[in-house]
Amino acid sequence: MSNALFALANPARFRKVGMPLLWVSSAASAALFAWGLWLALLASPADYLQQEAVRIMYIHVPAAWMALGTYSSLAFAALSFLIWRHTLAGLYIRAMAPVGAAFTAICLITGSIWGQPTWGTWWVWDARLTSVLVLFFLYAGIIALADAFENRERGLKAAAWLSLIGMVNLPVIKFSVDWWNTLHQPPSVSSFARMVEPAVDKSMLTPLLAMAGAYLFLFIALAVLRLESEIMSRRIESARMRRNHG
Amino acid sequence: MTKKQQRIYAIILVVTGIAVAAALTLFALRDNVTFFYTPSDIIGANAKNIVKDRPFRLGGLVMYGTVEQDGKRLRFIVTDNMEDIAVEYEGVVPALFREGQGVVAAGTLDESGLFRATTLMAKHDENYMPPEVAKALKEKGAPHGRVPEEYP
Amino acid sequence: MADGTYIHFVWAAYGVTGIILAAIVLMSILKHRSLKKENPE
Repeated sequence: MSNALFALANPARFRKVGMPLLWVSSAASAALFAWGLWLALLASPADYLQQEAVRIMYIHVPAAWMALGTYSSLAFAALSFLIWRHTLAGLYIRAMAPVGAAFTAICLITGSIWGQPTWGTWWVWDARLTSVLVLFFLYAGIIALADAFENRERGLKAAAWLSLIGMVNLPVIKFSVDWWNTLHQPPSVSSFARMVEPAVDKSMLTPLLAMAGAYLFLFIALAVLRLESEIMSRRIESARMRRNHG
Repeated sequence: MTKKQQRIYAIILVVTGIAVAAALTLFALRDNVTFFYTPSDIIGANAKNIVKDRPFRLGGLVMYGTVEQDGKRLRFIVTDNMEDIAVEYEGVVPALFREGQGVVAAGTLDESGLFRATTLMAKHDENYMPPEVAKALKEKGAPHGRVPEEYP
Repeated sequence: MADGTYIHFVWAAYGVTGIILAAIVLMSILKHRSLKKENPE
């Protein structure tokens, strides 16, 4: 496992694995989006209480999973960048923070649109909604820090520290609905008891998981594409430096 | 100690420090972090020491058979299965407001113990299912207690 | 809003999601392309 990761940490080798991975995950994502959207919008039933509004779940909940997952991956990359000085890990933070921010934005906006017809309000300052908003600001901070310094390495370092520190927000988001009274409901799928018996009917669980898969493969495709961009941009930068100083 | 070890210790120190600080802050502010109080936080033996003459949010389940609509005025009882508080509200009722479902009302408690709500929000639970499944579960006697007795 | 099936909320949510995803995909592709032009192998 760690050997494979170290091998991938070599930018040259990364680029060789990258292309096939990019195409396979793009295709998988497109196929899952097609199937998932068909299930989510046409082939799945309306909810007994929420009626059609339940369909927002299929884009909202996977976006929330991806927002949290992307952040965990940033924190993991930050660790290996700060401890082992893996260049690729530093570039990964720069490449993927905007993707995490996009998933968080989707989660917040679709949640708001879902809240109005179900709860009767667009937004409340309960612990879950507020901690997800904090997650969005953390992503924004990481993006800003990564570009804030003349010296790229320093920007990456600052962004990595913020990614690590922001990790404390993840358990707060996950358990906010258990620790405090919130307007947001407790988990239907992603808790241990719910893994055994989800509180979502099977006809609604399939589109949910299909959309989650579509998001996940999109994430992988974007990771490859954006990491390659970062590698190229770094190479261009160092070539420019050599020209200017040599 | 090598440079790498120093970095590892620095990271552990900073992250634990921040985590402890965050945990202490959230614990100290727990009464502000909570979005609503349940009836047994307000009245009864386990009532918390909170200021009740200011507006606050009250949450719980809408008790079965207590919803009365009188023109524009809506009255019902909020319960957490320990204590009950009667609520009076005038305004837009959220679509998911149902007997047996969760509700959060913002307003003030008057001297007679009636909660005068100015806003009403429906709280959804974690169960999602098509109407036929809800119906079948109800007919079976809802083995998981998942379906409220009354559903549309 | 006590009646109706909320379908317009569903369209709004899917629309916003589509726009955000399309934006991030497009931006990533365009950046990759322009860098590739600048950085011939």
